[in-house]
Amino acid sequence: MIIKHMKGEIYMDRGVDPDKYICHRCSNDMKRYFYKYHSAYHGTDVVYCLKCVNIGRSDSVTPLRVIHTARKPEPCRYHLDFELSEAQQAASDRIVEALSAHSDMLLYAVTGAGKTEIVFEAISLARRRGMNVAFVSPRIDVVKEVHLRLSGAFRDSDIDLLYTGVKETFEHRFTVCTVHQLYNYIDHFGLIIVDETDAFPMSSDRQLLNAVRRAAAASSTTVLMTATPDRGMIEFAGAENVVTLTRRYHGHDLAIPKVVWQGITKDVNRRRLPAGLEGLITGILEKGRRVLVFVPEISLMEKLQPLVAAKFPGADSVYSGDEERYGKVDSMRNGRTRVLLTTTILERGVTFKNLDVIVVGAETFNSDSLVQICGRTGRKTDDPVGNIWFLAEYNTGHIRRTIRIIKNFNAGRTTL
Amino acid sequence: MICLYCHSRIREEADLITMFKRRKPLCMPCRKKLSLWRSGGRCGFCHRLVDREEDTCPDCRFLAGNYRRPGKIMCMMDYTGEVKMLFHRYKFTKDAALSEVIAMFLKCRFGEYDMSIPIPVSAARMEERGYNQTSMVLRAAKVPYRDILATDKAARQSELGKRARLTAPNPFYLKEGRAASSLAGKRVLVVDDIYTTGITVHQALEKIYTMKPDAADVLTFSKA
Ligand SMILES: [Zn+2]
Ligand SMILES: [Zn+2]
Ligand SMILES: [Zn+2]
Repeated sequence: MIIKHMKGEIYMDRGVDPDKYICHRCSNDMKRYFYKYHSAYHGTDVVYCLKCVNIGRSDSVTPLRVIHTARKPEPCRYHLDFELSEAQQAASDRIVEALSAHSDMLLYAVTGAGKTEIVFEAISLARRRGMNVAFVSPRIDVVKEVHLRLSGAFRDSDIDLLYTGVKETFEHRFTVCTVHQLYNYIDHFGLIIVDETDAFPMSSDRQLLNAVRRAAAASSTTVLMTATPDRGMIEFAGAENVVTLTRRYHGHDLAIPKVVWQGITKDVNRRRLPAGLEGLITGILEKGRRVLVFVPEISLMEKLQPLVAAKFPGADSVYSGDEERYGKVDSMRNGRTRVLLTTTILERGVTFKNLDVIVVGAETFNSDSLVQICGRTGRKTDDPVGNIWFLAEYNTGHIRRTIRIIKNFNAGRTTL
Repeated sequence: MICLYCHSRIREEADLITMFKRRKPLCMPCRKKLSLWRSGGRCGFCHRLVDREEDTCPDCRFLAGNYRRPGKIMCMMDYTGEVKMLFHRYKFTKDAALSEVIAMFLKCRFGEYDMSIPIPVSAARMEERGYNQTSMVLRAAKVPYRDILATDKAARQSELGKRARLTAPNPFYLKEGRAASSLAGKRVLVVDDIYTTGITVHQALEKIYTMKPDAADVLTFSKA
């Protein structure tokens, strides 16, 4: 079933129970995530759910309506312009087995392992069997990027693309969307792939995993993919269903971050470019490489950017609400920009050639983010390693854990 | 307490000062993001971003040639990507709670006016949204207002070209009743959510000026 506004049969008399504070669409039952106001138009108080408002409001004065769709198999051929490595192939086989057994799976893979391609065969098989397929991620950038890649590979399939503000839908049989969009599906998908599972807006938010459960058909397979699993994800998939990939697709080791004990806020507040940072950027540019500088907060980035740009003309900055965000990323990709300051928005889903990475204020980042940030370097076969520096005022458990995770990957081990 | 913009929890610090302050429904990072003003030259009258700073931009000159102008135009938030997103959510996903967020940015001396008048929405829009996005913000800000204007416009104004809108009949009319007829000699403030071409607000002013107010200014939450 698919929840549709304005059309279809009535599934619930109203989306929200205003007395018990329960949302029938996303099953939110925390009172603080509801908003109540008096509506003169309705002549009554209206209560609506804040958890799922961005996919269309579920409220106490409007019924929830659903439509039913029929299953329809398709040949679902795909095209891959390289051969899977042995490890990728083995993981792909495991997922295909899981699909037939209707069991779930946790794909625990190093950044740059080529995990998207690993699920191609399972997607194709599911569609041949008439199962509906969803590829979801918490991050809009990842959703867009994956949609492009899947459309390039599955050229004969109509693939839906859904995220806040964008709706390109065909028949809801092969859908790429943000996790939130799953609230609109009930008992619908036979295969759900969740990419970047650790990037859930609040990674402890069980409600989103519940949404995955509800959107999945009675016999179905959910594949969680992540580089940094937590206990909840392992419980979700079952400990016996964990598949690990510790090698990047090109076979090279991940670079190990070099930690420099230096805070930068004092210098920045005095409008001075921190000497350590200047030295690192100079060295990177001299080698003809480019650099992403990760900054913990927009306010700090705004102060730092002019200081960096004064010394390195053309140095730019980008954050999530930035209107020119995509242009700036393109500019970095084609080499016009060589120094780009960024918030965590570019920690995932982007690949630049000849890239090094600097993290300032590294003591404020968590290990999920740091592992992803490190994963930006060395993604291309012709530049497979790259350099990473953490500038930190003091050591943290997250910094130590990040280095341990990376060293373990390089040694062929996982960190659980 | 959560931030009504990003829905993250706001830590409540129970010190003496915050105990007596009304708690704000917006976290600091969101407040900063929404407070940004883009740098660059601006039109001295409508505050539009322009290439070269000047007293009036071409749009203002165009309007001045066709309508009687307001005394001044006040704008509360720059129409940045973030603010655009805020208004999109407020108007099109019906996230009514954001009226409280926008209300926080109303820094206007309402006391200098005898009456605040929101731009009305059509019956069709009302059926879709369930609220007038402008008066809802005024209510959240506890600013008294009078609904003396009504509209019968059917099509979305933004779908019409500038010329077509000029020649189309004025979609606003004054409601019958004492409030409208008592405008004579008063200072009024016309309030709109987003100022785009400015034609909407000038058409509303055209009706209001027929009641001979002493002065009429415009307050717009944001400026495209
Ligand atoms: Zn909900
Ligand atoms: Zn916030
Ligand atoms: Zn102007």
